[in-house]
Amino acid sequence: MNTEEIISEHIGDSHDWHIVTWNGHPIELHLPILVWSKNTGWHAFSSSHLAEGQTYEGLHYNEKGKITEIDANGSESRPLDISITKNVCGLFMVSFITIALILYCANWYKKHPLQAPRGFVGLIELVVCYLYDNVVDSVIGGRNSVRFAPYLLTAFFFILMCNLVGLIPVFPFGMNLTGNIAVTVTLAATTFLVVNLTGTKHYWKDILWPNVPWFLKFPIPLMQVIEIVGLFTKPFSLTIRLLANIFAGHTIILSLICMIFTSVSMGVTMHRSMTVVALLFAVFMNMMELLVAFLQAFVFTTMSASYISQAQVGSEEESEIEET
Amino acid sequence: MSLFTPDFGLLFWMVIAFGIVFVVLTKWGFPVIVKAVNDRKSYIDQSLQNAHEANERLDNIKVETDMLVAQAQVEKQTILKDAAKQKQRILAEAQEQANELTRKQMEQTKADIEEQRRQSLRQIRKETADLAIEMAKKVMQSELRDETAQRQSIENQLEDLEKG
Repeated sequence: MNTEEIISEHIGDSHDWHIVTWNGHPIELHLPILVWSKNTGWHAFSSSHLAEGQTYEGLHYNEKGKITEIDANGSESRPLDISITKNVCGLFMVSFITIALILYCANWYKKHPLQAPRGFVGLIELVVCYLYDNVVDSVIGGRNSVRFAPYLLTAFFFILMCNLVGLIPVFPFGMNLTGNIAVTVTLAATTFLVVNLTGTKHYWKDILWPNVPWFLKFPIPLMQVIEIVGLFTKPFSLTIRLLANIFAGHTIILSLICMIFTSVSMGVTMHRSMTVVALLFAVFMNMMELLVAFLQAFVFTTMSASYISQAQVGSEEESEIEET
Repeated sequence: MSLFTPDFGLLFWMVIAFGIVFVVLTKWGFPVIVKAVNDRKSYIDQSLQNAHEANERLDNIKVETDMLVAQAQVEKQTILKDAAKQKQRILAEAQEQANELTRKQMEQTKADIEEQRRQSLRQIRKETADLAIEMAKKVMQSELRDETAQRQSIENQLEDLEKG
């Protein structure tokens, strides 16, 4: 039994959605493949055509499971792959759940003006209000709170849903979304864009001409280089923090579960005791991951809010001057 | 390891999915919720403020009522005192009037009695005179011829008697 293979299969992405293996036959959902090759153009077909190393329309999986094209000369190339993979399905599902959740609540408020919600809508209100008051308003403050709240709240709920979906192990959940760098990079890049596209004059002045002795910024722009590197380390840290937390959680839980199966060869007593220990640890880790799911969504939101507030230096004064 | 090199496909779909979620929730989701919660908050604050003011007004009304009651009490006292005085005065006046009336009546009666007495006296005098004359006439019929001179002398004597 290859533990590493099992773990990387569960954590990684794939073109087939494996549900369960029954009597040696895998039960799986074949997802659509959508690739564009500069030689042969668009290809769209079910991934069942590529199962078990088959070649279809000149395409096949390479040893890493990526779609590879072999042209007439026999040379391999990677086409542009925008297939609907397991993770893409997961993203669509999370997007749908998040939108449905929030629009349902927003609709409730429209139907019941000036009323306090109970139950599920009340729970969402609790979370939204907590974030708005303690993260958005206390970090950013003023009229900018209203401006940036939608982005920060969207990021929070999207990340939270991704994390929670990843913790449910059965179909149609269990994909590792926020433990995938493509997802976290996109989220961090959005924060980067929001921060820098809305940055004030003061913010850019602090980066390009900071308030330090002149020899630190001229003729060698030492401070500017440091500041500009700083611009990019912020989204980088956002990317890696979220990715590493979720990735590590999934890996540890999967390792613990695999321990049950690897200990079979160690004898009955060892196997039974290892099963109990591994299960206890797995339960503990799952609870831990539940906490981390909330915590990382919260941390991402808080850090984004603080980066945004740093880029809003002096914006309150500016708007006041505009008014008068 | 592909875990740390983003797949283009996933990146592409993630941008689209997150973009749609962001746009939809920014347009119809969170601002609605935040606004509703804020509206409700200010409505509750306003209601509390109103209730507070109403309570204050109620307290003021109570104080005012108490003040009015106290004032009325004082007025009642003065009215009662006045009434008592008035009563005293009226009683005294009535008494005086009654006294006066009685006095006048007494005087009148006295005068009447005096008048009666005088008339009676005159009558008696006249009758006495008549009687005396008659008597004297009878006694002295024979002796006295000049009745008129006799009468005159008797009248004179009587006058003297009266004066004396």
